[in-house]
Amino acid sequence: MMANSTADLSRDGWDLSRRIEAWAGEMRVNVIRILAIAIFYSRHLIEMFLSPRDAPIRGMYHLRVTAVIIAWAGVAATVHILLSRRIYPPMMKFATALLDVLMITLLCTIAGGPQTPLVLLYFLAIGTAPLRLSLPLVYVTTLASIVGYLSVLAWYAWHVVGFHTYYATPSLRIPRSQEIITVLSLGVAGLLAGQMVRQARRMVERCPSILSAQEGRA
Amino acid sequence: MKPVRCATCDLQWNIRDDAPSVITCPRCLAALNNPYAQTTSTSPPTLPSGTKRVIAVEQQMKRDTRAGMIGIVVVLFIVVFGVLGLFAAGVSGAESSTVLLIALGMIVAASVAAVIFSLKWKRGAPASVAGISGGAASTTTGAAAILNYQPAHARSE
Repeated sequence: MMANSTADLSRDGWDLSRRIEAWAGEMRVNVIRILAIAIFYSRHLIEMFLSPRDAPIRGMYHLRVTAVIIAWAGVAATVHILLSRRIYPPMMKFATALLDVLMITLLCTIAGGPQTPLVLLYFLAIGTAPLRLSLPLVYVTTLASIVGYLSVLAWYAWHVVGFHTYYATPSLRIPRSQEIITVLSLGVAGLLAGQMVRQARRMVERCPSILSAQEGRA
Repeated sequence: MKPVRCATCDLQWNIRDDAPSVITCPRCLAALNNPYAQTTSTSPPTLPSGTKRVIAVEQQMKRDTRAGMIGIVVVLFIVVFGVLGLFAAGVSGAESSTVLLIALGMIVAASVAAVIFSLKWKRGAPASVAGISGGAASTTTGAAAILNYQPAHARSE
C-alpha cells in the first residue's frame, strides 16, 4: 500500500515536472524550427539565384519547396501562438513531431529521393523528441522517421524510376547496405533519445521537490 | 521546500527555497509570483567557479517568445522574397496569373493574421500564488535573479 502510494507520488511528480519542461522544450524546439526554416530556405534561395536561368532548381522545384516552407512556417507560427498563450495540450507534441516528419518527407521527395542530403533532417526530427521528455513521443518520432525514409525510398524506386526499371538497372538502385544502415541509424538515434528521457525521469524521481503535489482543497 | 497553491487551478506543490520570483504552475502553466521570493531568495547561492546556472523557465519562455516572434517575421520576409523570386525565375507549368494569385493571397492572409494576432495579444501579468505555510502573496515581478544562465564569476562582477 505504501509502495503504491510512493509510486503514485513519484509518477505525479514526474508528470508535473515534465509538463513545465515539455512546454518550455516545445517552445525551444519551435524557435529552433523557425530558425532552421529561415536558414535552410535562405540557402536554397542563394543557390537558386546563383544558378543559371535554366537550372532545374528554378521553376517548379522552387515553387514546390516554397509551398512546403509556407506550410511549415504556418505550423510554426500557429504553435508559437498557442505556446506563448500557455496552451499546451498533450497531443500537440505528437502533432508537431509528425508534421515535421511529413514536411521532411515531402522535401526529400521534391529533392529527388533518398540520395538527397535532406534525409539527414530525419535525425534532427528525432533529436527534437527528448526535449519534450516523453518516451512515447520518442518512439512515435523514430518510427515515423523510419517510415518516412522508407516512403521516400519506395516513391523513388516505384514511382520515379519505375518498379521493373529500378530492379533491372543496378546503376539506378540505392544500395541495400545504404538503406539498412540509414534505417538502423535512425533506430539507434531513437534509442539514444529515449535514454535521455529515462535518465531525466530518474533525476526527477530522485529529487523530492515536487513529489508532494496534490489537489488543493479550498 | 516551500508549499504553494496555484490561484488558477488550485494545485498544491512544493517549490525550492531558492526558486525564482516568478514560478510556473505545473498543471495550468500559469505564471505565478513566488510568495516567498522577498523573504528567502535575496541572494543566489555561491557556485564553484566555472559552473553555470540554469535559466528559469519563465525567463526562457520570455526569451523564446520574443525570439520566435522575430523569427516568424524574418521567415515571412524570406518567404515573400522567395515568392517574388518565382516571378523573376519564371515557373514552367504554372501560369503567372496563378502564381500571382497565390502570392497575393499569401501576403493578404499573413497580414490579416498579423493584425488579428496583434489585436488579440495580451500579455498577462503573473498571478499571485498563496504560500501554504505563511508568507503573503508577493507582487514582485523582477527578473529571476536566482536561476540565471550566467557564469558564476560574471555574476560576482
